[in-house]
Amino acid sequence: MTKSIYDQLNASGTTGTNFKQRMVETFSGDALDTDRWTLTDINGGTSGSMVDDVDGGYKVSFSTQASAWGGLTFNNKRQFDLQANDSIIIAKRTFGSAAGGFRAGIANSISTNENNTVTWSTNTSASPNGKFFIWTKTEAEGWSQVKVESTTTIDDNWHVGKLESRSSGLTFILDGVTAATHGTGQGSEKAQPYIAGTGSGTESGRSFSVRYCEVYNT
Amino acid sequence: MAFPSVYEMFVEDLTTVRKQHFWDYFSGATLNSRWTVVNGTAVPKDEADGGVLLSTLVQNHANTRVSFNDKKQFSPTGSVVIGNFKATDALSTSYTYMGLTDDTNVAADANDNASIAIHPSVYTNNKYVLRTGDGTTSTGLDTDIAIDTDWHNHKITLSSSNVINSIDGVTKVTKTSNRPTSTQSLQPVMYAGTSTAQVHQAQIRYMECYNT
Repeated sequence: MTKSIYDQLNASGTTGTNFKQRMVETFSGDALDTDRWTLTDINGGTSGSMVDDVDGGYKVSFSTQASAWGGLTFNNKRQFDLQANDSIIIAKRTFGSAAGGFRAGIANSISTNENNTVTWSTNTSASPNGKFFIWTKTEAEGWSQVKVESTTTIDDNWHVGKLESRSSGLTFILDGVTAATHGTGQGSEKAQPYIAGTGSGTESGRSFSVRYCEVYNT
Repeated sequence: MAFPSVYEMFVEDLTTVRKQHFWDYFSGATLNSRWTVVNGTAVPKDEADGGVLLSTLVQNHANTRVSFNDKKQFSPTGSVVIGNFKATDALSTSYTYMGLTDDTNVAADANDNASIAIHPSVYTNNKYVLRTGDGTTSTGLDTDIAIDTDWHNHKITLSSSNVINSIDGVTKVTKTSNRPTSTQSLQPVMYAGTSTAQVHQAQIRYMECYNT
């Protein structure tokens, strides 16, 4: 009988050196675990709080400032490999008809330059056709914004997104179904969990919520 | 079999969007910051398998509550709470609760709650009691386990039709009366109280809650 989480995650005989960095966050409690997370106000207008509601998780809200932008990071403690990790994140946007949304995955930078960021996104301002999409910007790809759309229209419901990042390319799995792929490695850069949102307009009531995040190097 | 992720230990594929779920091992230098302590203290115990020790103040009707400070993320009609805890004394004047509650003062009657109670001055058969409340009235149902100062695993399963308690892996009681109302969300709580001016202590070393 398996008696440890370690054993649940590793086949018998796995060596210690093969057990790599991993984090799991359930966003349950009276407040954000600030020993781990920083609410990073990337471009102003960002606030956050634990939600007092069943299955509410943690909510990041935006003011009416144009291009308000921010979210959850490790404040540049970057323990994950940009092209050798999985991230699993449950989140939802609450933007209604307002443009914008969140992106979730890992990032080297937590500034507006978004350098070496590998995410899946619900940002309707950035999505070419309003679909969930892979969104990256990496040095390995010449700092260009790479967007690979799925066929699923962005909405304001809870979704679980898994992003598998490898040297051979990216796989985005949305609610258990492969939604998009990108066949290029992202470069071996250090990175941190990144769940951040933005909206280009000035509407009130824009936010996103997150209730699970797991990231591990492979 | 090895799972690729902690997520997939609980939901074997990613087609299900998991609901709120947390667990705490009560291991570390301090109590995790997800908890709020009201009155008394709750500090890690410096002993093997000690978990966190709750201690009341020395005064009549003192109680120490460890909770989410009214961030209520769990369903009254579709959730599970598991706690591994013990009371450190069996005084007739002390009382201990662990479970889910609307109000952190889980011992008060007018709460929506589902908890395990050790409260011999109220539940006089000296058994572990499954106690539930509907916001107006709280009532208890005796299990067949006599209260003691040993560690036990308590599991409470809340559904739309009943509340079930198991102790150490064995189902003990099913309760249908005075259950939490469907409109009142709940938070986890660990509670130690005393009706006299003496310290009452309890320890907890694991807690897990999830919506189903």
